[in-house]
Amino acid sequence: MKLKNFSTQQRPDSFSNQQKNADEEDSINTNPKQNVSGKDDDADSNCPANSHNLADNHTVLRLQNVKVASRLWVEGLRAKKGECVHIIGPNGAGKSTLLLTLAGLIEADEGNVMLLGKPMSNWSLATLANVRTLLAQQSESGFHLSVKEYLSFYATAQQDVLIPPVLEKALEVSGFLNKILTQLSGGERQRVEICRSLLQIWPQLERGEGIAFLDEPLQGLDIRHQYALASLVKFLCDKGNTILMTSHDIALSANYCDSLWLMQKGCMVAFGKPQKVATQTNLESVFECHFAISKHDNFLEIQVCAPISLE
Amino acid sequence: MTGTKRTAVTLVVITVLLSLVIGVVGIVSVTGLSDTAADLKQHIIVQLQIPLILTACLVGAALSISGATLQVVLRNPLADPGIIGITSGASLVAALLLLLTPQWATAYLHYLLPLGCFIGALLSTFIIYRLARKLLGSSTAVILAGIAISTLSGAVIAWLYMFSDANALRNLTFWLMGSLYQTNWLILSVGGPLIAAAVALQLYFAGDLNKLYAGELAAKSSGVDVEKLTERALIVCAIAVGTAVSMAGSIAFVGLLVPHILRLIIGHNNRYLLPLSALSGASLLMLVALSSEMTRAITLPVSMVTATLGGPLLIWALAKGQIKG
Repeated sequence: MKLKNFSTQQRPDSFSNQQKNADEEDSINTNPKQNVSGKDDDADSNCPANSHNLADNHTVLRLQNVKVASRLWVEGLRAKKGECVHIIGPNGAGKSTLLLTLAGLIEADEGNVMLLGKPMSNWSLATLANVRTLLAQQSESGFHLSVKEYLSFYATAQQDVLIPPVLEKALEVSGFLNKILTQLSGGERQRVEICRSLLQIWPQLERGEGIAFLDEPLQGLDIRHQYALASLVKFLCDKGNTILMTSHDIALSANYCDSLWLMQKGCMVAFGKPQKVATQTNLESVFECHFAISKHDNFLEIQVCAPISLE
Repeated sequence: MTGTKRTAVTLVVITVLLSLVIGVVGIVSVTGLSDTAADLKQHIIVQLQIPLILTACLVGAALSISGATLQVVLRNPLADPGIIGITSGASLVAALLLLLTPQWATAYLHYLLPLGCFIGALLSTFIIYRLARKLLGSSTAVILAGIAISTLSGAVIAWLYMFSDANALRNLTFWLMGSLYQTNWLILSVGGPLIAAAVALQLYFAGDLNKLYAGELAAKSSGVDVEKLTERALIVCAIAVGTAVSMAGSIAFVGLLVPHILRLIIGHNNRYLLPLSALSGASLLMLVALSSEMTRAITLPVSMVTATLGGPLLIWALAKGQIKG
């Protein structure tokens, strides 16, 4: 079963001892509130005494046999608290659909999506908004509002928008707070959008309780900001937040994530530690390109060569 | 930044209040000039001029705030109650009633007309929304469907023109260009609360509307049920505009002009923009009504005045590059 491969991260956090329990499928679904969910419930009988905390602290997201109208078919997946997940795959592999489903914005046709131990159907849009955030791929705005005004509508901390220093360090947006949104360059606009989506749940992210879904956040960013963002995401995850992001930069993603999810044609081909997922066989069969992969101590060097079909 | 914004808000509020004061003073001075029997004077003030001013304020507020709301909900700066077809349904019903009502029923036309227009506005909104949802499900589709509906009703009105007599034609032309002189206390007592309620509801949407600026997914992610909001906002706008149209005919441009000019001054925050749109729209139409009252010549069609004032203003704003796409 694929879930067994799922990596257990060695984290300094206090709960790392208990992660083995969490990895056993049965012990997850133990939040008393969620008995409503019909399909998977063999858990309550053998849950440990602190099961409530277990469910809350460990598995943030859980997917079971989820199917979305011929675009997504995922057997079983979960993301743990504090996990940094990068999702890679060719165009149309279902990465965005997966993120939207996990964010509760697309309803799965079949199967279970659980967020913080509660089935997605029990969450309302309003309560979700305080728990998770989403950066969608295209967001259009024909209105010529200033960046500052724009951000202020989404920031939870009312009044003057103060970009938290951590965000500012990676995204560097305060330079164009007074500029008009539509006059920014593509990359600048993208930085503002990332900032907006993170500000939505900033208090939660600061406490290490946030969940963020970022759909291709690297799109349009220059190389420095790409790595700055990847570091920011990693930093936030180390604080206890759970972040899932899609990416087309395999070389970057493999080195900045806790787990790598590899998707193809709506299915999850492989997931787990990047060293196990980003193998030559996996990547070549999914991306149809030649890859040169070399492992260093702490670093996975991945180079893309020519597409196979062009030869 | 917030400092300048606060100043701007205060400035707009002061201007608006000042014009309202000028309006009241103006109306008193206009009526105060004549020195005939006191009874007649009082009758004119109470029965004609106060309803006129109130109608102008209500209609102006309804059109401006609905324009502001529609522009955000449909994420299109071009949206205007007139352009997206809410008024065209009302116009069609008005044309049908004015041109086809048999002789014996003309006595009731005064009350039949507002009622018919109101129903027409709601009906056309309903059709537009259904059509848009079925076809594309996007906000641009609402505008396209609106244009289709207004073109169609424009064509029907043009056909009706061909088969009607001169008197009916004159009535219709007048109605299609807007007139504030058709109200009385009875119509006001029905229309007033309707518009007040619709304005209040739109103010209530302001916070959610702000989140639409980043697009549908971002709004949903931050907790706004976009479909529900769109549906509710469209219904509320249709009620506001429908009521306004049935009280004063179709008045062009106010819904497009006022919010755009205000955005240049106070920015895009709907919490300020919506109430100030309502206030500015009210004072704008009141000034129009007043100027037409002051001239005392013929009663000017309102659209004529608003378009004459608004056209150049909008072109100026466009040329300055302040309003784009």
